[in-house]
Amino acid sequence: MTARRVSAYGRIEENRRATRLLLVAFAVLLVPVLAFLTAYLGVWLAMYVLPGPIATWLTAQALAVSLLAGLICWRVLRVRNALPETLGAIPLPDGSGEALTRRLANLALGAGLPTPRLLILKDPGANALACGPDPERASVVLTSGLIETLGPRELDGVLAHELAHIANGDIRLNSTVAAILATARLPTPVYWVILFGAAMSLASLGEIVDLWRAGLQTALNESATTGEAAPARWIVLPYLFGIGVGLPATLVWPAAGRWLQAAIARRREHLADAEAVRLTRDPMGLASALTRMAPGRGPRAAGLRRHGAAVAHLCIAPLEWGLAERLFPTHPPIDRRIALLKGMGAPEPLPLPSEAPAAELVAPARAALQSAQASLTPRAGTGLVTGFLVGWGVCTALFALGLGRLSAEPAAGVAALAMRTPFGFAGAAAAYAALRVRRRFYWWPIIVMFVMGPYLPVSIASGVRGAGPGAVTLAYLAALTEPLAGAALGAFASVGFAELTARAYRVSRGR
Amino acid sequence: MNPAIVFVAAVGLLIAGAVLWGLFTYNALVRGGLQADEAWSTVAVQLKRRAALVPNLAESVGAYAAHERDTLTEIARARRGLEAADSAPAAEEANAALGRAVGRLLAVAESYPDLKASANFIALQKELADLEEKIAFARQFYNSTVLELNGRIETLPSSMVATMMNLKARRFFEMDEPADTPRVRFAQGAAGAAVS
Repeated sequence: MTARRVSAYGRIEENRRATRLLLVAFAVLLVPVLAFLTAYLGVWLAMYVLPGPIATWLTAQALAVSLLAGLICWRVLRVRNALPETLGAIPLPDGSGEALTRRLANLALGAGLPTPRLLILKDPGANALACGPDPERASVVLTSGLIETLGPRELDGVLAHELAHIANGDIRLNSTVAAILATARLPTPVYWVILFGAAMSLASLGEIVDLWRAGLQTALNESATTGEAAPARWIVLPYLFGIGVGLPATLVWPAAGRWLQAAIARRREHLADAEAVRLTRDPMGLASALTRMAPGRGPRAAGLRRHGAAVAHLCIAPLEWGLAERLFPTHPPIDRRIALLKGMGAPEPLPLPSEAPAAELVAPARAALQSAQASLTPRAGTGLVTGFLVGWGVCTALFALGLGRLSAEPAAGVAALAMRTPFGFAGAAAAYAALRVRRRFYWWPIIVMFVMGPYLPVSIASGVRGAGPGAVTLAYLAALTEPLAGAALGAFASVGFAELTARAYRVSRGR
Repeated sequence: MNPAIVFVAAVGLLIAGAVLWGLFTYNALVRGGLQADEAWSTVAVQLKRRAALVPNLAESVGAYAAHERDTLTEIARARRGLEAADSAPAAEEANAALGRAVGRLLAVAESYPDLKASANFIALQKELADLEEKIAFARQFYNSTVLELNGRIETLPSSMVATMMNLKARRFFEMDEPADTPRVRFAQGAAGAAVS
């Protein structure tokens, strides 16, 4: 593969422009999705939490907006402030790695950055990543496999690449995009139900479109003929926008958003490569390092793998070589990056002749890692056990709430009491297991459990007795978003059936 | 709508836009200048640190080769020159002089095996190599900042504002070694690249 000869400066400009375009596309697509999600959440809130006249309807919508906004902000901050220690990385032991830290400090001087912390992660595969919300709190993590395989020139290239990520604010950008993508979406089972329904009967989709058009027409007519109906227009129009434009946008969002996220991440990789070359003036060093990190070179870190998508965009080389990485690659093809780097400088045969690795580092780092090893190994099964305890506590609390409801609404209260225990337990346990396995807080089963739990029988009853197909669909959706089905579907979708089974098996074997 | 009002509004908008652009460009130029100053202070700190290290080096050489008067006095003079330098061109000159003097000093050290083997001298040499590397990187950062600033000062349309502000393009901090200086190779591979 060959590439046009373009200087590092040209590449930097090109990549900055492309990132801007991609970010605009991301934002444009995000607006209808957010509109739909707030409309959707608003409907739930208005139906179940704040039933009442139009004023409470508005309150429900406002509450939905603030809930969603708060959730997104919380997620963004949490992802941004993720510390390398959660990956299992440890700081270099005192007195070792002096040459490496000095080199990092000197390169940081060249990039005009404060010296980041240097951490090391036990992993036979060669990889590196940068963490931290801003340059002052940034860290660079190198895997032990990287330190053992790379020569000084190659290490320089990798360090400069990570420093470029820090200087460009890529950690902030990538994690913000990732957090928005993970938060601003329908709960997984609801998404699949809607998508499945839309695919199964395109006729009913047409009906929905007709309904939407009729509603729009009515709103416009009303506001045109009577002056008093004007407020209705302001309520209905954004709402119709949310459903009419937002629903299709939301259906394509998981794929389109992920593709855009990956495209942004790939651009930032190219940019960091080019800026690393501007700093070290040695494209072949980085190219050689990338050659050594090419696919199939050794296993990947348990710490990095467990975090999967959350840190994949921070690493210099891709974490997975599987289907997901091929569909939505977070990194440009490594051959392409090497070809571009070759185009920036005098060609040399790659990989560079094996120079002495930063050998003095490996022994003390390995000793430190060995002593830290015990505390890092995740204990299998604790997740499910804790999930059991949490679920038990939650469903006890909900049982008390159900008793409270009994006096007000006897039917709903009885149903809530009857269905509470297994649902609450399953939801909490699955949510907590998912949280443990993926290190990702799986919020929606718990919220669904709390908010909609008592209403399943009510919604089914009203849906069956109600006249329209809309009510039945609603009841059906409500049933599917109920704790048991919702939590199970969500946990299966996110963790995978096999992994959950394996965990249960390990618990039963007492390991 | 009245065409006159539209015309006046359009002209007003245009003027407001131009004023706004001018303000932003002015700010960007001032900020760029401050950034270059800051980047220069990074270079200056490293230069000062090297100047402070040189007497130690001269002393340890002097312990073995006291008769090399010329080299040692030259070192002291170059060092004072660098410490007095307060602008980039002056520092450039003084730094080059100091670099030549240090090069000669190290060449002298080559002929004293005892000196070369002394732990003190080796440590000093290592530190000197690190400082050379730091200076090289600080200089690179300074030059890239200056490149960005000069781009703003010399290209249209921001050059119009720069002319009004009476800004001149800044000089890069050059550090090429004269041909007659003996090339010094330090122990570490990376340091050699930094000196050249």
